[in-house]
Amino acid sequence: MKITEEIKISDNGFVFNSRTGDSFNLNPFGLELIKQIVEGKDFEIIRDVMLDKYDVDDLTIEKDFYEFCALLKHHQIIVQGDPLDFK
Amino acid sequence: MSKLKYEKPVISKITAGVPNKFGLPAKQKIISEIDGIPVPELMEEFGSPVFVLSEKTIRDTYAEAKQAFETRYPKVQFAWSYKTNYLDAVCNVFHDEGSWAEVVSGFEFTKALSNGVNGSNIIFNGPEKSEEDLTLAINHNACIHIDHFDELYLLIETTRKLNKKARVAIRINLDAGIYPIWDRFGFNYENGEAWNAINRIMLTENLEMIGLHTHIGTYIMVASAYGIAATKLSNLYMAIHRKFDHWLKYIDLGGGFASKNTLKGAYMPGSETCPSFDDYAEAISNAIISSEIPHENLPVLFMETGRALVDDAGYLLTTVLANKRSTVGRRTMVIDAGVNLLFTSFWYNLGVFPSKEVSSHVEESTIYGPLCMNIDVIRDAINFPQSKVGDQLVIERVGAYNMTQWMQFITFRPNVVLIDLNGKAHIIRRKENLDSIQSFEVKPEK
Amino acid sequence: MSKQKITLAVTGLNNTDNPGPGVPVIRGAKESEDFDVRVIGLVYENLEPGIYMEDLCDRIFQIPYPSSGSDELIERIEQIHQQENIDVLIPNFDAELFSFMKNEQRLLDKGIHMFLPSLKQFQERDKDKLADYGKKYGVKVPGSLNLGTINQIADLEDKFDYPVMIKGQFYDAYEAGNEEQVKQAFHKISAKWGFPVIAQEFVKGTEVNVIALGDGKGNTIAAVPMRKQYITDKGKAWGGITLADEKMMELTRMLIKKTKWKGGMELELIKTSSGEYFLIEINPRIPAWVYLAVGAGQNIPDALIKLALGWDVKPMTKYKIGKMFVRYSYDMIVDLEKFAAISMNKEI
Repeated sequence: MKITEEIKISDNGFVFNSRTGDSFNLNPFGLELIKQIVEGKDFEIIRDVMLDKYDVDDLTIEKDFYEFCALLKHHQIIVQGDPLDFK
Repeated sequence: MSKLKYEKPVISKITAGVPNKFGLPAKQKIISEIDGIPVPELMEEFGSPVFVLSEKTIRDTYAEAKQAFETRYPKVQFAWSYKTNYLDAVCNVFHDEGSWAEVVSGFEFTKALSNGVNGSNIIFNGPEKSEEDLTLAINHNACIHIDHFDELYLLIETTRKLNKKARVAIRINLDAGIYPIWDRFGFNYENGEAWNAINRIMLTENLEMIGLHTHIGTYIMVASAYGIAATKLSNLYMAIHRKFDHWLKYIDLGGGFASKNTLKGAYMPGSETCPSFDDYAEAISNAIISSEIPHENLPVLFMETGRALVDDAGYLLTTVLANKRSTVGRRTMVIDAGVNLLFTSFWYNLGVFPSKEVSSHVEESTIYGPLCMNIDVIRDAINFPQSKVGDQLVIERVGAYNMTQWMQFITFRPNVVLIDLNGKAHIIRRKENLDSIQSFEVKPEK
Repeated sequence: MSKQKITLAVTGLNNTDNPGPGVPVIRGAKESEDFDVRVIGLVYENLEPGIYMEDLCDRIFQIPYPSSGSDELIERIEQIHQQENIDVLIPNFDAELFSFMKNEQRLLDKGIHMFLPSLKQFQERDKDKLADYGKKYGVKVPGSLNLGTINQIADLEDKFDYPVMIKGQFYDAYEAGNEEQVKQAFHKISAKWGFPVIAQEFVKGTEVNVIALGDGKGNTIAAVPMRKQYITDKGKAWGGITLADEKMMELTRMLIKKTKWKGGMELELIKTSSGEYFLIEINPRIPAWVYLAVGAGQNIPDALIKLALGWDVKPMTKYKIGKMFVRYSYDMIVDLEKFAAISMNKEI
């Protein structure tokens, strides 16, 4: 999973996609998550960091993480492969 | 070390320039209890979904309406509109407050009788009255409000058969500046039809003309329209006295007062734009008092307001079943109460609220009911905080019409609970079960 | 004499091709001889051009639409007021007037002054009541019929010849030349704006407008008549010229006197070839072309601020005749930071 190069993320949660011209805002948890994705951490690591820090269970994290990623994909913030390429 | 509070991560697109209908994230209103009973407690005991009615709100609202009229007009009588909510426990609160019954069918008539209402304190409205219904009404000396000429002649015939007198009024439709004009009910004022009907009745020995009735529409946001209607009825009231030397007993302005719900398509919330009881009372009282009617002959003023008296007292408690993303990334949420329980969701933007503190991040969402039908949408667009499966929500202002127009569909209709003045909750209509549905079914013999 | 420092809050910074009056109101206020104005821009959207105009506003805040509830709007204003100490607030959108009128006293108690018509003045000028309004105040208005159903077209045809104007209660107007067009317009408008749909007699003539300011006691503090010279496809003036028309002025003064109108207003009139005037509409606020009045010698925003603060304002009776305004569009180059700031922080 890789964040598109054209994405600029500000510390206040403002996100600008210079390829599409769209802008977005993140809530603090979204910002924290996207920063870890930028750092190239994969889901297992991110999950463990979050579990350590927050009062939350692993299934909730998993569900929210993948929903968040689906949104990032939808907004063309992460690089998307061919959805019908059933690898 | 204690862990930090978690919140769901969210990203939302900033729409540039296009009017963002919702503006800033607003402070989220929360309904955590009803008349002192916490929402989780109610749902634990009575299930989900569950309708909850507040007796206190009913009585307070009734007192407010009563005061608005009685401080402006000497003789006022409310009649509880059964169709709005005819659960016996609800009707009995209104009857206990002094309301008569306003019914529109033989079924409602017998229900009112079974609630102990004296037949002469029942107003029988509506276009559907069979000979059997009329017989019942005549025998109980009810006030029969005639809707059309065919009914008038049927009534004359019925009184002849019974050799009894009937007490009657006529329903009148008129132009009060409200569109569309409800000219499908009653006799028209402007074209003289109402006056003709009155003349026919006054010449009939078996009919005692005692009142005039109108009902100008529903959800009327303009109080002055009632003033126009009251003026027109006052004119007829005086005309009857002049021609027949007969004073009627009452003028009935019907119902139609708006509740504080927001109509779909309305720009401002209903709680801000709806007239108050004082506004309606002022318009009506002024019109009658300033008419030609001499003070000593002022009629009793009947009011049949339903919606405005009970809508605010009703809540539907419901549970989040699922959160989803549509293919365009829109947030959607499925709850366990559908449009089959919430008929009013077809014309109101019902208020849906969390029952406990939630994340401050709100997102425009669609709320679906649980039915496997595409029309099952409780809210098209509502700014709503992130919530989890199992979260309990409260839908407010659902006391009117939902518990009479609901449909049994794919599952059972839920418990209805009334919280009494002491803060104690009582089931007033049990949740259905397989037997309650099947008991009406008959299998053909093979 | 040194100028009095005041803080002025203004909405309607949407200077687009369907412009709000905020920017010209601020321009007028800044040219005041008596005030040194600090401007708080109040915006609903993040692309309202006024946000990006250099030296227009000192601070900018995003506010919630009145449709989310007056309380939310007013609470946000109060919160801004705590930081910025607003002396005068001039709302410029029709849709927000209701909320501000209802909360006039509440804001005044906090020290925010407005100068708005009363709810009664506001409501009696509603489009579907224009006929009553004309009768009550002795102004000619086009014949009209409130339509509740399509079946009333026969009544309409009895009453008027085609073409007729078909209008919504709040916005929208279509000219209809036959029954079919009436039906189309009726359905379009009723779906959007509800009932009644208003059918208005078509009055042939020139559209002329008056911008005016009433002091609430019956005096006309300012009034400038104008004719639109060029109208965009959205029906907005793109150029206009001040007129010397004593009849229009008399009509304006008479209306303000009889209604005791309080605040800014715009009268939309049709002048027929025989010299008669028909009142088409009354807008209950300052129109977007207010700067023409300022340029012609009547600084209406300045006078309105004074009235709001309770000053005694003498009526302005002179204005330059034949002054014109020509609107133009202009592309500003702005940085993403401003857009990000208003979108994320809701203030600049």
